[in-house]
Amino acid sequence: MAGFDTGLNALNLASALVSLAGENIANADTPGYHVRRASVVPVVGSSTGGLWLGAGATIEDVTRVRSELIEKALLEHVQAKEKFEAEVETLTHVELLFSEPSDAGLDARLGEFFDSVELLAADPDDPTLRDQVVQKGQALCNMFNQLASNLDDVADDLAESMDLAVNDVNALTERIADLNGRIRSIETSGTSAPSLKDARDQLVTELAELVEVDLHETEYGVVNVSCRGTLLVSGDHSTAVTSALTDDGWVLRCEGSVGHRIEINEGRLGGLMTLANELIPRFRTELDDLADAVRRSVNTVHTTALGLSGRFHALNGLNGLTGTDPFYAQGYGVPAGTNEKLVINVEDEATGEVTQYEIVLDTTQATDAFLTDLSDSINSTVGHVTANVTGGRFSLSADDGYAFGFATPYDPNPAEPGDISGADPTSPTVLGAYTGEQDLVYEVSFLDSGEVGTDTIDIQVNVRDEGGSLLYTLAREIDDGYTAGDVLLLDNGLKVTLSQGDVVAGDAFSFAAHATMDSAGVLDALGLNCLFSGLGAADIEVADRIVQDPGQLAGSLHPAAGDNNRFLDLAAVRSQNVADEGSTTLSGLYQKLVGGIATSKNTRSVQLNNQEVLVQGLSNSRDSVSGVNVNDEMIRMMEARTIYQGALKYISLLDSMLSDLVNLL
Amino acid sequence: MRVTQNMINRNLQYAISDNLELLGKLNEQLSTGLRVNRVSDDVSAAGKIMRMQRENSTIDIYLQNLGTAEGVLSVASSSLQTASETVSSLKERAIQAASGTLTASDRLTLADGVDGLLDTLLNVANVSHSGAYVFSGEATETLPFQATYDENGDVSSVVYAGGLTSTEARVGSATTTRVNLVGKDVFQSQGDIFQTAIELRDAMRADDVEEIQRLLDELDDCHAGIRRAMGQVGERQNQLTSLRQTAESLKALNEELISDSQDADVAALSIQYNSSLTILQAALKVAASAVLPSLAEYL
Repeated sequence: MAGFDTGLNALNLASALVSLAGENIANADTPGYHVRRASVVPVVGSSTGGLWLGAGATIEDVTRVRSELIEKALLEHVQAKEKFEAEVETLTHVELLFSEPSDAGLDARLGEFFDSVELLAADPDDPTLRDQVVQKGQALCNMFNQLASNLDDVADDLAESMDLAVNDVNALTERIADLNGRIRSIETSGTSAPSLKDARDQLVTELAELVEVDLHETEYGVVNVSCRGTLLVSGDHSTAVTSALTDDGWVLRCEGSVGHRIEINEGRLGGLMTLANELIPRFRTELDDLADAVRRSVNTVHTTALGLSGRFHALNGLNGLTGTDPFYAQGYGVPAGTNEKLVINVEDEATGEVTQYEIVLDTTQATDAFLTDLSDSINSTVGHVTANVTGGRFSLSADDGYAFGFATPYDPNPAEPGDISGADPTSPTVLGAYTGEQDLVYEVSFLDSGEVGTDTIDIQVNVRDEGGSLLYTLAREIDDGYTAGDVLLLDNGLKVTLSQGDVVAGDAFSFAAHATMDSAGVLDALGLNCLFSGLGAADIEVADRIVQDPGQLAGSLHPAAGDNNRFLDLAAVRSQNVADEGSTTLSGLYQKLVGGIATSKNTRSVQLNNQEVLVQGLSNSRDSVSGVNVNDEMIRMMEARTIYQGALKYISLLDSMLSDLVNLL
Repeated sequence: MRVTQNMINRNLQYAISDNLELLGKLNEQLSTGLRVNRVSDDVSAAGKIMRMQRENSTIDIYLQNLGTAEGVLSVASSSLQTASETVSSLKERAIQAASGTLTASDRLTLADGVDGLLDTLLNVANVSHSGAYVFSGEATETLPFQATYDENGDVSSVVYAGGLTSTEARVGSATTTRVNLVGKDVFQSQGDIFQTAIELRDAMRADDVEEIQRLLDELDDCHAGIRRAMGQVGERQNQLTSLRQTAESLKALNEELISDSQDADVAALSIQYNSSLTILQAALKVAASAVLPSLAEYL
């Protein structure tokens, strides 16, 4: 009797349905699991007395319930979320490295350095205060070195993380390809492979956490995976990726991709690459720029000043500069100029007489040629000073009894023999810090004859610019109220004193006042009389010469212990716009750097939050479609049980019918 | 919408971790007492705080520099007071010596007194404060008034060897003050007090009444010069006092601004903390009973 087949089919169907519900319940919490549904179809039976009755029902296939649209959207947002997560993680770490706002950060070190200079300016020959400036300078440099090495460590850690992520990507694509192969072999036989597909799709989700993926479903349940147009998984074949450091930074390499590289943006690996290629190098460069701005602005003042021991007998350059690149391109911030000037004062120590020499520089020359020309022109024009270049290091030395310097912006004793023709000629001395903004020539002439301090003498001062054209004239007068050595004020901070002696009408002397002694700041680049040395945040340090002898800290215009003019200028550097091409202060540049880190972190935190909400919402939508609801399964089990009970009754009825038939015989 | 247990669990988990994060943040702010613990907490406030903190450490330096300048000025002021008194004594002796009733030997005695006063003046003018000469301008290590002695051991001339400009110390963002004084301007500008005293002594010894009369006028000039310097020192002391007040009130103002930007509003935070805590407790309670009853229990 065909009826038993039907009953058997029904029993089988019911128990299969219960098993399916059981499996669904068991996997209610399995990541990546999609609820399974059986597609139940009637079994085609044979014809019984011309009637086509079926032979019950059976399960044709078990399939997963899933929404393609939601799963795709979920993948996309998982990629973005992972990218931001990696970025926020590292940026939080970097922000902590700078430990601001506090008294422990670089800004405090910078402030303390300038504060110590300010204190020293009030008492320039105090050895304790000098030591303190050196120590604060070292603390500042150490902070720079520390931050640079910390950022480098972060970059190293990123490289390691990228390596790990790349290994994960390769392991995942290999397993996806393997699963693809197995799914294909099952599905070509006509049935679905829902468990394998779930396993594979879970791996794809894990892959999307690392890189951005695009999915292409093909026949027999196979999914090809590509990343930015490069196939990583094609059927049962996977292609390995590698990470490599190139001139453009870190790239992801893959055989068969355009130019052998994949430009990834998203996923954890995308985040790591953005950090390693853009953010961390940017912060590192900004830190270097800040260190260079500190070095250059401080050295610009310090190189053109004198220490406690006055002018120098010998100076050795700290930086070896060689090559055919233009001198201005050596990274020291020297401007490109063909008419830059360096003024050297040479003092005859026996008489105190100072002679000024002006040397014209062309910083667009090749470095080697520049150094040779500079040393040649010093050797040929500057008396009693010898210049030398060895291995790109520039050194200067003075003859015995002579000393040189770059501090006093004018000839302090300008009268040449014969300028003053009195019987006992008075000798004029120039003092004061020159505050003018351009180079000027002061021509001082006496209009009357007489003795200084006794007679009334009119003095005329013609002030000319560099080209020699007369700008303005000052008139001064001395009479019997003037005592030899009294100060006569000119302008721009300049003063003149006259010693006891005579002048004759028509006597005159002149001197040039230089707005800057080193217009291109080449002394900083050569490393002569520097306070800080070294390029970039990793190498900045207090020059050894100063550490050994803090008395060499230079803050004077004249060789006088209490002259603090350049210390005041040095302390003023902090409030000047010396950083970022003159647009901000040193502190301002630093605040821009830490503010930039914090803002990068904050914008990404907000984006991460958005992505997290989206991923959560989409996960819920996915569960709403594909998740297991235990009550659903319960009802399905009850249904199955009803079928089972019905089938048993049916079979028992068939059995009774058969028995009845047998009894009849 | 179909709802599964997983969705409920996920929502609870998300809500609880979100709430915990907020609580952690509030806890940090309450325990440090600071609203801005990292730059990213408030980028613009952090920038402001950093600027104010640096400004205040600079003001501390200005205050120290003011202290140094005040110390030097108070030494200068008391020295000038002594110098002025010494010049008065010189004048008394000169007036005595100028009177016709005195004998040559009386004048000799007076001359010795003048010589003593000259030494006093030299000591006063060469006074030093913490190792630096007060009246030597920027040449703080050079003895400002160098005396030459004749064969009798008497001072024959006094020459100024100090600096002609004085050391400026920064005491405000755009203000500097002279720390030391140029002795030449004080003692030798309106008449040279040393030269006058030497000449007075020599005139007394020479019994030259006419010369003594003339020197009396010069002494007046010198005295006026010293008194003028005293006035200037007093004026500078007043100026320093007012600079100190300005710096101190600026510092207090900055501290207030830092506190405004950085300090946590404890009252508001406590309330927020409590409400977050209540929400968290509610969420945990819900989570504990979130295993929904299912059909299984009724079968």
